[in-house]
Amino acid sequence: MTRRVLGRIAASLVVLWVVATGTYGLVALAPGDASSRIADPRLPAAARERWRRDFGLDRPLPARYLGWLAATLRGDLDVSWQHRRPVAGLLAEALPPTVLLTSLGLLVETLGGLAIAVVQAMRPRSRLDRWLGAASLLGYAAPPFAVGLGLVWLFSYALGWLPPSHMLSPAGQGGWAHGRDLAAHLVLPVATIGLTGMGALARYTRGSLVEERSQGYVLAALARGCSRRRALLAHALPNAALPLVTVLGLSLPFLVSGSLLVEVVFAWPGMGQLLFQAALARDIPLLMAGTLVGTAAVVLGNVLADLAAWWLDPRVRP
Amino acid sequence: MRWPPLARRSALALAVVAALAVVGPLLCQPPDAISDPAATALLAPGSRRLVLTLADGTTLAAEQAVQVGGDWEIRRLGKLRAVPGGDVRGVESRRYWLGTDALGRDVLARLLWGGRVSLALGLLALAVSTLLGAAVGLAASWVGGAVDATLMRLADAVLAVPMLVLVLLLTALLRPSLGVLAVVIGLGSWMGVARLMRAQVQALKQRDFVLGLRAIGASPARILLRHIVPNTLAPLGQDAALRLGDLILIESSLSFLGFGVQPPAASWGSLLADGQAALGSGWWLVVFPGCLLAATVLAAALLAEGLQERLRHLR
Amino acid sequence: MKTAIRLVGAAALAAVLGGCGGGGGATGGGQELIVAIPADVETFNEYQSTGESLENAIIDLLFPTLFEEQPDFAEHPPTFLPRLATAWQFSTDGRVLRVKLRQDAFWSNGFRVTAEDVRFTLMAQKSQEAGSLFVEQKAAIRSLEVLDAFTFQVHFSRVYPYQLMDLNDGHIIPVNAWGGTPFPEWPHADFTPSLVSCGPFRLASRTPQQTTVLERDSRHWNPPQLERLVLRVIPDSAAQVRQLLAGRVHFIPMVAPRDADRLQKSDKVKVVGYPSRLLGFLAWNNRRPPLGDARVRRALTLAINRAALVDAVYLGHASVASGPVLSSMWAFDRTLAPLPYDPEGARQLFADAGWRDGDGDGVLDREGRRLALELLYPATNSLRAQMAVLIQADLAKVGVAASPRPVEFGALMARQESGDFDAVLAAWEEATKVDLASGWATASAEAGSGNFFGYSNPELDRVLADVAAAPDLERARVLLARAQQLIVADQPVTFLYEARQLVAFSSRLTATPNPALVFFGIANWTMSPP
Repeated sequence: MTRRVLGRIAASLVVLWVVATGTYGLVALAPGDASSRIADPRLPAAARERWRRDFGLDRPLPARYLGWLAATLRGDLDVSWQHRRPVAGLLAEALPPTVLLTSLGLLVETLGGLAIAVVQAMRPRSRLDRWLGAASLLGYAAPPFAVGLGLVWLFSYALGWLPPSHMLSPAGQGGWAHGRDLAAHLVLPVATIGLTGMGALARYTRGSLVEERSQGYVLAALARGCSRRRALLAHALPNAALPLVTVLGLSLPFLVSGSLLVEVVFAWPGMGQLLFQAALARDIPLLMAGTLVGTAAVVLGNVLADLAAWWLDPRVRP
Repeated sequence: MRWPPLARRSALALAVVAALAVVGPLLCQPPDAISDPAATALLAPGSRRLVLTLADGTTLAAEQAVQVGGDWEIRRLGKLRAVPGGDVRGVESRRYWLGTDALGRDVLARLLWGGRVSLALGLLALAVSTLLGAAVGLAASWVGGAVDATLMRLADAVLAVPMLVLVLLLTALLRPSLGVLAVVIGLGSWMGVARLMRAQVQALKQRDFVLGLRAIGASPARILLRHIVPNTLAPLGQDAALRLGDLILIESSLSFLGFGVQPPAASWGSLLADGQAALGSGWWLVVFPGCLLAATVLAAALLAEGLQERLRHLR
Repeated sequence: MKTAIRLVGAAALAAVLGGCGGGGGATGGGQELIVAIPADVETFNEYQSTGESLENAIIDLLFPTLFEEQPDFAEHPPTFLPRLATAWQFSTDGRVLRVKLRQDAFWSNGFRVTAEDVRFTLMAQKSQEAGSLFVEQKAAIRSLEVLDAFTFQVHFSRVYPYQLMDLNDGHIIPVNAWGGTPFPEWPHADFTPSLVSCGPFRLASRTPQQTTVLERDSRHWNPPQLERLVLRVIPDSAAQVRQLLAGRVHFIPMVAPRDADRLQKSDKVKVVGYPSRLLGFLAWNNRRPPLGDARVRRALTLAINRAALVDAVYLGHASVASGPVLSSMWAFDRTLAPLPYDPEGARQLFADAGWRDGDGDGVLDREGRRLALELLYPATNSLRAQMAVLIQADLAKVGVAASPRPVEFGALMARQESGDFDAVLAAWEEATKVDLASGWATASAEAGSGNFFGYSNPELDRVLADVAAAPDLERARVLLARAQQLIVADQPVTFLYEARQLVAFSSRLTATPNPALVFFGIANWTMSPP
């Protein structure tokens, strides 16, 4: 057992290394480097060379790569070339807003999707079912940035209820006012994530719910005099929701890496924008650290899930 | 058993869209035809202009033009102006049924041509991701053991690298073109297929007919190719129909960030992204491509659902 | 699974709430100006900066220069007014400059601004290790000698018209705060926490990627009327415009021409345009065969309807450029006019150079080669995307197959540097110094040059060498006119446009943005109550 667990962790580390090396190769081999951001072509070549030397870009690629690998193994994430600050600090600033936004977004997506599916499955093929089905399909078919911009147009400009962008108002506030401000800013981006994800989830769950409804155990519950709602919620839903865990599991990277489009539309200070700009700026330390954090979260999540499965289910235990 | 009506209708819708994309461009002018951009920019749907081509190759788009004697008397951008008849090489009346964009290009023509690009890009990316994902999934589940674990962890991990960052770096590394874009999008979205394929093969491996084949000594390659792969095609096809919409949407997101198809070509996604930047100037730049995009994605999703239903009945 | 998500959410919420506590009390927005910026300021240390112009304008609010350069370059090189320096005098041979500093300037940590700060600044600028991009510009400054706390002397190695400008470029930085960090550590050092500044504003608070608040520094010798300047990061330009119309931001330093026209219709917003010193051109790779022929390049220029292009893309907010010197500069040769739009003449020139449509496919060819080229431009730049499309349409009419190719910015820079392109739609911001040598003389490997397109004309090189040695401005003016004529005749690039920068702001603001800097004269700006 211990050997299996250790083997599993070792395999994960290998995967982590492969992904990191691939990303490093990609960003290092892509044309352009940190000095390309100095747009003025009249800058003397010597100045550009000095700039490269400052970031060690004058060394050959294998040496740079090994240097980066050694530093990373020591736990040294280095200083961002773009922001001139320790990468760890930048990640510590960008992770909480991202996790806050994406976790709430996923929560809304899940609860909303389940609720729609349950309402639909209560009376399949009714008018309500069809309308909800059409609505969830629309949510699924609309590009996320279009949904975000539509919500902003409606709620921020036409109605003036909610702020159109950012995480907080410019004037700093303390205590409860701060919390309220944050909540107001969260509504639209969370709704964007929720609405665009809800559709697929709802259709998926409705299908399995309707199927479960005709299964013996639900019929038996109904025969026992259990109400339709109770039969659906207490008996069919837990079984129908099981495959959802897989769908949500696929959202794990999204939780950490964020959604670039939602962040751009709402000027949200998260990981998506940070890493996208790092890629544009060829900021290798920042991009690599961000990739590692995202990958590690996913790999770790999978290992934990497998360990939990071994623990809980004797059949898969070796 | 008959096909469910929903699937039939959506398949029909997809076919109409595809037919429009294939045939439509033959019916209208080229999407990059530009005449007198300053005077034809952002015309509302249904506008009409008279386009005069002059001897030196310049064009004038007039709201009104009358021939007085041999010369032309035109109104362009609200101002009256006389053009000597000898300068004019050709006069053409144009109607812009769906309006024009910021450079005076016909939105209808661009939509029809854009459909080709969107669909071709979506289908190509779909082919890449499906083939790659299926190969990985098949290899993982058939070989099993360490190969399985590593391949599937790899799929998870690639999922963790933000897609758009991946696309950005790959398009910087490779010279961008429509094909490269499709391959790159495909490379960023094969992971789900791999999972699906693996699960399918895993399940099939335990089925009686496979166990039976093994027992009678059929070669593994034969079992795999003749018996297992054909049985995975149906779910793969259903998954593919569902993902076609996703892939078309990914291209529109890329266009929003400035890394989509290359001008003067346009896709529905890039038209929508351009339109949102000019939202204050013309609703027609957003509404028409948005509707077509949504309709296509919807049709693909419904087709997938229809397929699923049919599969269920077949079982 | 659901519980897990809720827990993560709660943890993140706690982190966010804890992280941004120190904002202070809310203020009514009386004298507060909210500025929309497309990307966050990366550093407040000019000697780490990539020199992006908006970042420079913000740094100028926090750090002083010795003199204030005036935007009066239409008749002569710019003149200077006192800023940190109150008086200055050249020695009779012109090699030594004595400068007196004002005595009422303080850093935000209480220290006085002294001649030692100026000396330290020059050391940083000339340091090979600090990552400064000023080393070459300051090469003619041999040394700086501190006479007393408020007086110093600068020794130049030669006499030339731009001595004051070269000394003045770059802001003065605090030795007492930054002197403790050795220069080799500068490329990786963070100077933002407890930023020590000396300007009309100082850094009050900062939330990276969101908001930077600057507040009035009342100890400044010319304190501004505005109490606070809030910089809000809004990456999407369409969102900037919408927020300006809704009154959520008050100032956009740069708006697109079409947005400007739309904003002008609103009575809540004012739009001001001024010549921005931005020169746009289409660079032809002079090293690549057909483009090495001046006849071909000239024909390409004649074939592009530049007036229609400027009209359609800039909607009248730009004019057609005639040559390498901006028409708003003293050195501009006023006898130059843009080459005409003349497709017939272009066809003739192509024919002279041996290019004909031999196979009747609509594209010119010579010895079996088609005249096809790729037109590169930075992806995400929608104005240049429009230009590329119009240019392609114009060139197609004379039988040149041009394909627009958006290229990611870093990759484009790398391709320019290695000469791997046919044509690039480029633009650069002209310095207020007229310096044709750095952009048009034959490029040498060491000196570095804006001449990435590989143009080389020995006669021009001689004229430009004479300009550098010219004893006075009148002589220089004549030589510069000659240089402009040579360049325009050769058309190493097709000169496209001189753009106006469009600034949009709330009509509550009384302000005078100006060609020198977006925030020029900010001390006198005022906001009226809503």
